[in-house]
Amino acid sequence: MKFSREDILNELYAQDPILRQHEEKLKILLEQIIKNKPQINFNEHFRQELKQELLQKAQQLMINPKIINNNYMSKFSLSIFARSLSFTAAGLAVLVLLVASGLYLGTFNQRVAGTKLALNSLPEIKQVSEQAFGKLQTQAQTSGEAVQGLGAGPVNGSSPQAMRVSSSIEAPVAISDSKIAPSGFGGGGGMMPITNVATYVYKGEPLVLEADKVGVLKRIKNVSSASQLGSLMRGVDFGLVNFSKFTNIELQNLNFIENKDFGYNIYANLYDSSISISENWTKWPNPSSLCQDQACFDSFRLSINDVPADDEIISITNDFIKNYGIDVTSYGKPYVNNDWRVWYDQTTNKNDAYVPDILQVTYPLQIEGSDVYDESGNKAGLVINVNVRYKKVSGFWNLVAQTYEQSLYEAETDEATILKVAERGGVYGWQWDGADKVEVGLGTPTKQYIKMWNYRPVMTESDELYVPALVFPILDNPNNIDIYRKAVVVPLAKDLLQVDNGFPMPLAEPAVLRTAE
Amino acid sequence: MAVDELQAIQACQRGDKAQFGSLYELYFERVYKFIYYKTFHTETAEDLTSRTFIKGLENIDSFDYSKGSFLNWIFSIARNTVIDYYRQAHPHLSTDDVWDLSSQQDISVDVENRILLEKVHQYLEKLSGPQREVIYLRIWEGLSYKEVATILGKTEASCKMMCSRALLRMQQEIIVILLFFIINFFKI
Repeated sequence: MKFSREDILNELYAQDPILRQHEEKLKILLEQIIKNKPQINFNEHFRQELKQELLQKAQQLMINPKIINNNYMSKFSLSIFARSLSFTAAGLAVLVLLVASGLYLGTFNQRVAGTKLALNSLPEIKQVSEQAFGKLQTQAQTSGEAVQGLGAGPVNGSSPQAMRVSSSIEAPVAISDSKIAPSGFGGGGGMMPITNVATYVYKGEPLVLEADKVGVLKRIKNVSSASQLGSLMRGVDFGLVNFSKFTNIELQNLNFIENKDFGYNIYANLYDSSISISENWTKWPNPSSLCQDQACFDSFRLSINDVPADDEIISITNDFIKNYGIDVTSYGKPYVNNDWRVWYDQTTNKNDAYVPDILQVTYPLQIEGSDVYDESGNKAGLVINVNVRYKKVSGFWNLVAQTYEQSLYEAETDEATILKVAERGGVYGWQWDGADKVEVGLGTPTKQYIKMWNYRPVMTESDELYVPALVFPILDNPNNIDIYRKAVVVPLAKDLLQVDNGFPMPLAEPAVLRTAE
Repeated sequence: MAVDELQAIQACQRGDKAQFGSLYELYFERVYKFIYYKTFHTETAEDLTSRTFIKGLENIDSFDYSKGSFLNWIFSIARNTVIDYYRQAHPHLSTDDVWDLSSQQDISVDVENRILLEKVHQYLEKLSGPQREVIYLRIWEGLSYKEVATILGKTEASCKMMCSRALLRMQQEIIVILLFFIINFFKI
């Protein structure tokens, strides 16, 4: 309702007649106040977004009324939070330190702007001389992920590395109707005594091996950026230590947290030119954390009915990619890792069957139109975790800059040599003595890439190599031997096939023995 | 209390928290404007509005409509949220809103309203928080005294009294304001 200045004054005079004595002054005063009313044009987009946020929060409260967070910060909080309250994000803290220590922010920005991080999402390949990377198998190696993920126990499905270790060795399998969790899916009690192992038999067409050279790619890590950003830190006085006394400073990583409900922990590795995120655990509800007994834990276990269809899972990851502006130009069609369903289907008592809280979607990396496989025969690339309980992305990793050098290496052209490697399950394939052998067929291969690591002990670091390879699909696997493996991959660089594999990898043996006890 | 509003509150209290969306639709604009008048800054107003409604949602079970209106309840949350914000940012001052800060202090204010803020700051800063709220709601928003009273949880008579006292207080500053007005007039 519109009120005039006179209406307001008349109301006031009725309330307090003495005000009439000041009528002229009051008219001017009211005119000033009315005239200087601020213009408020609230943002409709904000109104809608806040409503969505409230409804999401309402859903959470309906699921678990106890997750009230008294320190709640909405998505609208972040900008002013950083400005006016306390800086909790570590990266922002770095900026504060820089400014506080006398580095003028404008100068800092200029210097950062001049630092090319070069986290390019499209492959950029520079040709270098033949055999520029030295020997490709300097040390016996296995995938870096497998080394890190050796613990196949309580990873609760959140570590893809742990999952891969079980597939990078000859997979011992025992199927019984007990409460089992596939290694890498958590639970810690997954491994059974070995009964069967696969013996691969090639059943495809004769191989076509034309080239006598193959172009091996090495991913180039943007060390110069780490160095340049590190140089910005010179002159910073941290109080506890005089930072300027350190020499050749490099900024290796930045770690941020998203301080909101269902926020993320964002990790940018400048040295490795990669970005990953995980849950900011303090902001994700953990409904079973207060449980004192098994019945309570069981009440929070998911059932098969809680698992969305693959389309829905991929829709969640696609929305996330779109929302966060992740460039997936170099990645192929995503797929959901449903290996757990094999175990689920084989378990008679479904109440005891494992249903994961986290599902993984892989966006396979593609280089020059070819897919990239890991050494265990699975497509490698950007992996995104989806929390089934909350139907939200809970993390991703393997988002890496696509900068490579390419060098020619002698190719293996002998069909028999390649098939021999394929039939033993790959370069590091190995047969477990004493176990029953089960024949698994291999089909005609396609030419793709295999991602491998070449550990260089002198430099205490590894080269990340992408080697042209033949990918032999597994045709039949009647007993679900090594269910995680979809193919056997054989690199075509001759250098890599000259591996003495008369004994198991040092990594594999303790993993099997320990869990088989 | 409107029937729809009451039904939405009761549904929320029975567990159907999604009904809070109806309450949000009813009161978003009023709450946002109220907070904006106290901050003069869009981003801050958006943040504090979101905090207000989230707190409202989380605490809807404790709302007792026999003790007061929802409007008064949600505005109380908004008021306290603004006070918390300013007192956290300026812990050594007794600050309820942007009007309690001097122009020398580092205040984030929307550019388009900075001049307005400076113009009205000199007389609004003399008022108490509740007196200012009456001015926002009655003079700037044009709400009736009945509505103002509901929001502030007071009687109509006390709201009118607050408004008249506020104006009396301000007219004592009228000489300063006149000078300010004249200076601005010649600038234009």
